[in-house]
Amino acid sequence: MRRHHRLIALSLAALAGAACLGAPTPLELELPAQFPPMHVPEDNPTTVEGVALGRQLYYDKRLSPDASRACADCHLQAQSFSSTGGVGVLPHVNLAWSESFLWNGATEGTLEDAMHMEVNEFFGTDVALLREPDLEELFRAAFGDPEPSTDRAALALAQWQRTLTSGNSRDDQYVNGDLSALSESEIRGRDLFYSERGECFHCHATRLFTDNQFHNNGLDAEVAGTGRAAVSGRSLDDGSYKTPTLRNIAQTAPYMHDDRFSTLEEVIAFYSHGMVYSPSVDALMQNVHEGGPHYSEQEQADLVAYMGALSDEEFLSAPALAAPVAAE
Amino acid sequence: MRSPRLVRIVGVHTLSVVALAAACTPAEGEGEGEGEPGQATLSVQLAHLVDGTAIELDTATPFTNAFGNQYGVTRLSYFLSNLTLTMADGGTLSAAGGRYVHHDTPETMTVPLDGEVPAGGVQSLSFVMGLPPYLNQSGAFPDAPEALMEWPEMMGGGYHFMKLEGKFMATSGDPESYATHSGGLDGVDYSFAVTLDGSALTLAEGGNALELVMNIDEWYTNPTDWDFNDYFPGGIMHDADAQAILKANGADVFTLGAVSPL
Repeated sequence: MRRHHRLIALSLAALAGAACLGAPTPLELELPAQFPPMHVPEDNPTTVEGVALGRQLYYDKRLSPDASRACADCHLQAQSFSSTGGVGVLPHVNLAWSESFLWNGATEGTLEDAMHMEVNEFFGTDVALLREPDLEELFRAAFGDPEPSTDRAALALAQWQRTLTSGNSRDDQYVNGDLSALSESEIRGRDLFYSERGECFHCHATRLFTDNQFHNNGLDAEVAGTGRAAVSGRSLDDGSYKTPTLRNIAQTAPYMHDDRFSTLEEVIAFYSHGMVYSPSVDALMQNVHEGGPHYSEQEQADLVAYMGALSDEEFLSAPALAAPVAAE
Repeated sequence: MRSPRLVRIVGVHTLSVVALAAACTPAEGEGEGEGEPGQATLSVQLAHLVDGTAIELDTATPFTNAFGNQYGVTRLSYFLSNLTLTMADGGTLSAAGGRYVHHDTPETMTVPLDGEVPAGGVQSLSFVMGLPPYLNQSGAFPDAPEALMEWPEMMGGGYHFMKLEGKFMATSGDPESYATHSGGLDGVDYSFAVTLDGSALTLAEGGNALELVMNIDEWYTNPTDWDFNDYFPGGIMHDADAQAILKANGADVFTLGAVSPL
């Protein structure tokens, strides 16, 4: 049974059981091969009912004080829970392994901390809007008490976020032994990706394809006080932004923190010959005074092809991650 | 009395790798067990210096290497393995396995000591710079930040032994980037063992901190003076000759500092 299908089955069974017993059902998340271990806070264990509540809230406009918008309005499943709307909408994927959130890492800590920020600061959730019978029943199932609170909403959203795990792309299949999963061009792109000439793998590291750290990748010449530096106050961090995951990168256009690139072709061309120098440009950005390593046309095409091999079609369309029926 | 070098490094920002008491072997006839009189805890604290000056991660290029390149440091992380303190009486205290150190991450600098070591004279401190082959296996460190040291499978897999990065003034006159990344390449091991004489040092009762200094400038000289321009643009991960130079130059990179009370 596929991972997300199993989640649906567990959800249905546990919801039925919880309705009778009133006890949240522990949910053990199945992680993709070669992923890092997932660290779940002891005071917010993942449960089927907690995930169900978090899923509902994620898709529910009642999370905003005027009931006008939901998380999912800007974080669309088909776009890896990212969006073409807004500016710099980071995808909600594999955030369970992140300890800093937003492009400049202004929110630090656990997913619980991030979701508290979302509920209390970004949305400014009005608990009164959550006092509806359908939601109260979900709160009761998740926490043994029907009373909604922003704290419980954040905890449930954190549990839900831990299910947004993507790790079944064609590249994963290739790594796990299916050598036919990638085309010749994609394999060439992969080889370049993991070379010093390509110089992609240091930042887009591990099977998460991000180091969850901050780098000035040579976008701008004038960077004083921008990016991570706005948080850290260090000139070393001028113009540094969090490395986005490349998981489902073909679905998350536009690119960079300010959406300046519309296509992957533009992104690769930038890393090839479009970088500009600033004092804090990362040491991994080689030959910046010449714009970059100057990939050939074939190399650029191969890298773009490889990016396409990082899409996880199952994740992008899994019913268990879609809007719950009641909210549709 | 502290040596001039030791005086210079007093008060510098130090990294701390604490030798965990995996194996404390008292000399024959000595007692064992916690809390015995005359026993102490020990931490090995690392300092990162260039010509005796503590580094600060920065984009400036305040240092000059033996070849004459001006350079600075923006990132430094590395592995040390199997730290072992040998006492004058033959007893040992070891920290088995690979220990990750990052100059900018305090929690990697201080590892609480988990054991006790007899007070008395020190004979030596030994360790491996990097990861020996049996530890340098892909997947051995599944979690960040250690996992971020991964070394691509197509270069042999395992982990970087060191990431030392920064800016240097290139012959063009422009500040350019260098990335001194060491590791095992295509099945060839470039880790190396270091043993430092500690016979001038004595551990006192109570806690002790033993300073271990990485003299960064020594990576770039003796026996081979390193010109950053020779490795720019590009990198050295794929360069067996560069890896061999770093291994040879690295022989005198580390020195022991003072023992001080915790």
